[in-house]
Amino acid sequence: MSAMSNGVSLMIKSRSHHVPRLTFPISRLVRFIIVIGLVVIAGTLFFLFPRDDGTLAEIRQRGTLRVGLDASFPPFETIDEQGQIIGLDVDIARAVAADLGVELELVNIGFDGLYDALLARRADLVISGLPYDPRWTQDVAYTRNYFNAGQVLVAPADETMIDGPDDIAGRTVAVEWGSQADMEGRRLEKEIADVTLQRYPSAAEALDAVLNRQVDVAIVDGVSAVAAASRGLRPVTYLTDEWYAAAVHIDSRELWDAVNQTLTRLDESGEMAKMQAKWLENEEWRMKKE
Amino acid sequence: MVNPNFSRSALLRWLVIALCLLGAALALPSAVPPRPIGLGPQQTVLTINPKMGVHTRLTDEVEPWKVKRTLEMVRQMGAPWIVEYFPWAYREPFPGFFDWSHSDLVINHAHRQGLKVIARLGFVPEWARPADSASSFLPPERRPDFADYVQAFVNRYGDRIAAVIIWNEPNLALEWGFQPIDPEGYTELLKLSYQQVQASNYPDVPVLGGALAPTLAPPGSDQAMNDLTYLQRMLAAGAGETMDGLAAHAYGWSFPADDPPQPDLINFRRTELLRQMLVDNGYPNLSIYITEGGWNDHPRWTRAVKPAQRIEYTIQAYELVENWPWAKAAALWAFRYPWPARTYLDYFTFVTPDFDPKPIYFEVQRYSRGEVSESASDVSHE
Repeated sequence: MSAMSNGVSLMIKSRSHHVPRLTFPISRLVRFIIVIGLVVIAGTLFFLFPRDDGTLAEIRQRGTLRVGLDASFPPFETIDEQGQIIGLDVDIARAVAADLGVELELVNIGFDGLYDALLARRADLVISGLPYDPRWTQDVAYTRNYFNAGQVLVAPADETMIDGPDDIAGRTVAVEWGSQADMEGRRLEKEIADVTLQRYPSAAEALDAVLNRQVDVAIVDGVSAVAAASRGLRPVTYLTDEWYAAAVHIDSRELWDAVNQTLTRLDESGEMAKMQAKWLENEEWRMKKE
Repeated sequence: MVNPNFSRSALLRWLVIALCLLGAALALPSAVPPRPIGLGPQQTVLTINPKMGVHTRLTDEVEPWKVKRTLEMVRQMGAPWIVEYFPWAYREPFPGFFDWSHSDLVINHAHRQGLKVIARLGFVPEWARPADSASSFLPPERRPDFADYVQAFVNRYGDRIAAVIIWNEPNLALEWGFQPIDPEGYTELLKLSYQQVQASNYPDVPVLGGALAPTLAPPGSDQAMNDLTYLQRMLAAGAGETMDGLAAHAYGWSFPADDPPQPDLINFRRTELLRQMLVDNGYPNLSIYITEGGWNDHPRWTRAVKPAQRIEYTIQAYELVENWPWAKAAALWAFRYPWPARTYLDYFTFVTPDFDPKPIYFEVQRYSRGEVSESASDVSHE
């Protein structure tokens, strides 16, 4: 088999009349490898930059963003006395809709049906105090986190000697009896010397005990900890993480990008902090929850 | 340029060999059987309340050490009873071909831990139902096949199990193959199963019927049938003669364990209404086994209670059942899941998937040991 018949000729343009002809004899095998390589590169590019399903375009055309949530979880979402769905997640959803220039439609769904609603296209987006769940990541895309509901160590604001769990040795710790905080407290009780747990019927009463100096510190969930900050207490550090994020269909890449842009804007402008203060420090919902 | 000394066939050969090696390396971990775990010495459950129990979730638990650890923890909590699910489709994937490996694992470890096993049987294999039908759909002509499975199960484990439950929550369309809810059809299935147990090597193994879902579904609902209505129709169809006891599901939702029973309310003591129905129909000797139930302390679920209430109501429920002479056991849902559900269901459990006991585990353990347990009134108030 001649080299010419199997080769690839490259023509290099030249101003001269003399056109050099460079010939590289390449076997079929090498050509096969080149083709496979191109296919692999194309495939990689396809997966790196997958096609969007057009949800964002549909939302713009429809003029409405449908946000799925379970309105039974104050202060993230609940129904007020007028029957309106309100809460931190609703304010975030409003911000996303405003940035997209469309109306907001809230779709109230039971918590267990939220993902199905997304997959069945009954909702474009879910914002519902949704904990990040790696098992769903083949079907949905989570946005950046916007709240950590994990367990937090809380101390009096003027107590400067406590910077972390190691500093609670020899101290009394308040927790809500039977809760995740209780579980975390029992763990610390084993690991740190002379920790005494004091159990209370609710997280609010555990925080009150810190305020009243009946105990040294408390462990409460992230929501209660934010509320505590407005009551003269100091959230010291997270002991566990439970991140909340919004979720879109795995193929709704442009919508995912748009929601992330809004969440980033809210964070950077300080609006997210204001929203959280508005809802998480609100005594009315706290009383409702407790 | 291609090296003429390196032929394409040689390159391809090495490529194939490399791919084979890679495949073997990837397949090796799954090909290695799980490390055998010894049963250990025979144990007994120490408890002040011999009716305490939990529903375990070992069906999808693959690793033997996790099965053993789960059952050890049940024993250590002081609960002598467990309910476990043994799907027909897993045991008999082809007609007449049985794979007992996983059920052997569970039953043998449970027995060694001194636990009494109530075996819940259900889940139709593909060969026994039409293509694309739900796994809860059992065509009437296949009912004898299910009854044969019940007999095969009892023949194998009759000396180590405390009872078998025939099906689960047949008063829900979801659990009845999305077919019209049919108490008479279920009674026929119960009868066939009962007869096969009577004809087995262990005819004394109690056969439990029902395991009805507590529901207030309105008449004519295509989703569910009120459990009281369903039981009455079962008994009218002769179920009282073809079962040794009734399996009951006793969820408390947001009510305390001692909340009085009412026909239009779902609470723990609804079980007493089932009991009364058995008595009224002439079956006072049929015992009731609570095979699911309990409370949930999810922070958002509308039927949940606070964690402290869950502890209090759970212990209260165990105390109540101990004093019900017609109740044999109270196995509450659910001891542990193999992995997090990441929904409100996680808040029914006593132990995390990582085997971390929740506070309720320790409080129930204290109760089972007769130690003075904390109660809501004992915990600190301002």
